[in-house]
Amino acid sequence: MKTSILITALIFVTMSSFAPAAPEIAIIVNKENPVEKLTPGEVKLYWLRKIKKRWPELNKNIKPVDRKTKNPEQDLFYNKVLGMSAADVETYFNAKQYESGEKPQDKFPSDEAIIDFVAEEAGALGFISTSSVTAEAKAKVKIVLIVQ
Amino acid sequence: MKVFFRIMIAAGISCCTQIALAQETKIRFFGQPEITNSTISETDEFTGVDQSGQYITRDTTYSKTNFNPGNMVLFVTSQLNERISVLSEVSFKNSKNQSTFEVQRLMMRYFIKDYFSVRVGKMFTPIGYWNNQFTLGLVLQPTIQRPMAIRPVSDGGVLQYRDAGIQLEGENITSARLFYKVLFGNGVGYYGSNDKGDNHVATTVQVGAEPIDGLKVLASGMFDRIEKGKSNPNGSISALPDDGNLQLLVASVAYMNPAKKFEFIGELLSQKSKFNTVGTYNSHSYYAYAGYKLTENITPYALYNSTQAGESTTVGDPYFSPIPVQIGLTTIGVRYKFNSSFICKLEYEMNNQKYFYQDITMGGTKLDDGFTSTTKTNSVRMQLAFVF
Repeated sequence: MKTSILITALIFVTMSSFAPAAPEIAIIVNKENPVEKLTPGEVKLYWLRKIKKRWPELNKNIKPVDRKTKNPEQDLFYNKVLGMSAADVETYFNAKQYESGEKPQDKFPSDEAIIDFVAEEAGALGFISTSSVTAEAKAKVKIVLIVQ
Repeated sequence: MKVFFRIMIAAGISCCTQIALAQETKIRFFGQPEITNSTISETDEFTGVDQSGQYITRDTTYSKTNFNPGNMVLFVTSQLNERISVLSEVSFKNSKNQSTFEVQRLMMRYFIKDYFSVRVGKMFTPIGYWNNQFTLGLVLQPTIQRPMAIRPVSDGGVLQYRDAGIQLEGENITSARLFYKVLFGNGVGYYGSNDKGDNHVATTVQVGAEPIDGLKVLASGMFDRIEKGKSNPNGSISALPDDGNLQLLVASVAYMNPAKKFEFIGELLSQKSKFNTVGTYNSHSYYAYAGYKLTENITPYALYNSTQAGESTTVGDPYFSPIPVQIGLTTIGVRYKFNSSFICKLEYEMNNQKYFYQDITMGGTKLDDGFTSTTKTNSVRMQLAFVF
C-alpha cells in the first residue's frame, strides 16, 4: 500500500514538473523613461491612457503596446492588470478613437517585435513573457513590473 | 503612355501608403443596416382646417416593414506628430433614390497638456454625454436609435449635434478627473459654409468629473440666439416670429465601464426660448437607459424617454413646436456582441406621441374646439452594426 502511494506521488510530482509553467509577464518601458517601478493599478491607468496621455517626466505621448493575436500573456495582462476582456479592450480603444481621434494601441506579432518597438519609442509601455527577458532584451528595455 | 500612367499611379499609391504609415493613419468604416416593422395607430390625426375654420381629422391604422441600409461612415484619424492629430468622418446615406454625402466631422486637435488642448474644425457639439460618445459609430452605441430627447434634426429631433468652430478642452484634472470643453461655433442653423452674415458666435460649455472608473457626471449648456425670419432647427416653423436668445441646459450621469456588468445613462434637458417681445417658453426632456451584461456577449437593456415641447398641454414653444407635444417612448432590447467589431441589436419600441391642438378662435369667437391627436407606434427593429 505504502509503495503504491509512493509511486502515485512520484507520478504526480513528475507530471507536475512537465506541466506548462503558469505564464508570467514583464511590463516594459523605454530605457529613457525615468519611471523605475509601477504598480498594476498605475500600469492600467497609463496603458489605457486614463490619468495621463503623456509621461510626466519624459514629456512624450504614452504609447500602449499590445500583442496582435490572443495568447496566454495577453490574457494575463488583460485579466490581471486591466480587469477587462479582449472585446472590452477593443471597444474601449474604439470609443476613444471615435470620440477624439485618439490613436489606439500598437499591436505586434511577437515579444521580439514589442521589445524592438519599446526600445525605439520613448513613450512606449508594453508587456512580454518573462521567458523573453534575455540579457539582450534587458539591454534594450526597462522592466517596471512583473505580473504572475 | 498608358504604362507611364500606371507607373505613376502605382508610385502615387505607394507614396501615400508610406505617408499614411509614417503618420500612423487609421481608416475605419462603420455600417449599420437595419430592418424595422412598425404598426402605427393614429387617432384624430390632424390633416388641416376646412373653409369654415373646423379641424379636419382622421383615424388610421397601418403597418409597414422597411429594410434600411443606414449610414455608411468613413472614419479616418491620423497622428501627424506627437501633439497634432486629425480626424475626419464622412457619411453616405441613400434614401428615396437620393444619395447624401456629408462631412460630419473634420477637425484638427493640438494637444498641449492633459488639461489644455485645442480643436479646430467641424466637430460634435459638447452637449450632454451621448452626443460626443456615439453619434454615428453605432457599433459603440448601446441602442439602435438615439433617445428622442437628443435626436438630431436629420432624425426628426431638435438638436444640432455638430458645429464648426474652435474648442478648448482639458481632462484628467486633479484626482477627481475633472474635464471641460468650451466650443465657440457658428450656432444653430449654420454649418460652416460661409452662410452667416454677422459676427455672432454661439457658445457651448461642458464641465464634468469622472470620480471613479466609468462614472461620469457632467453639466452642459449651449447659448445661442434666435433669429427672426429664420426657420427653427427641425423645420416645423419656416419663419420665427421674433429675435431672442436660446438656452439649452443638460445634466448628465453615465456609468459605462466595459469591465462592469451594469451600465446606465441618464440625461435631463431644459430648453428655454426667450423672445424679445413674444415671451419666454420652456421645453423639457429626459431619458434613462440601463443595461445589464448577462454574459460576455448578451446585454438586455431598456430605455425610457419623455419629451415635452411647451410648458403644458395648452402652451407650446414657438421655437421648437408651437403646438404642445408630449412624447413617451419606451424601448426594450437585447444586444449581442459577436466581437468588438460586430454587434446585433434587437428592439421593441412603444412610441406614444400626443399633439394638443388648441381651440380655433377668430375675433373672440370660437370656431372649433381643441382636440388631442394621438399617434401610437409599436415597432420591432433589428440592426447589424459593424466596423472594419
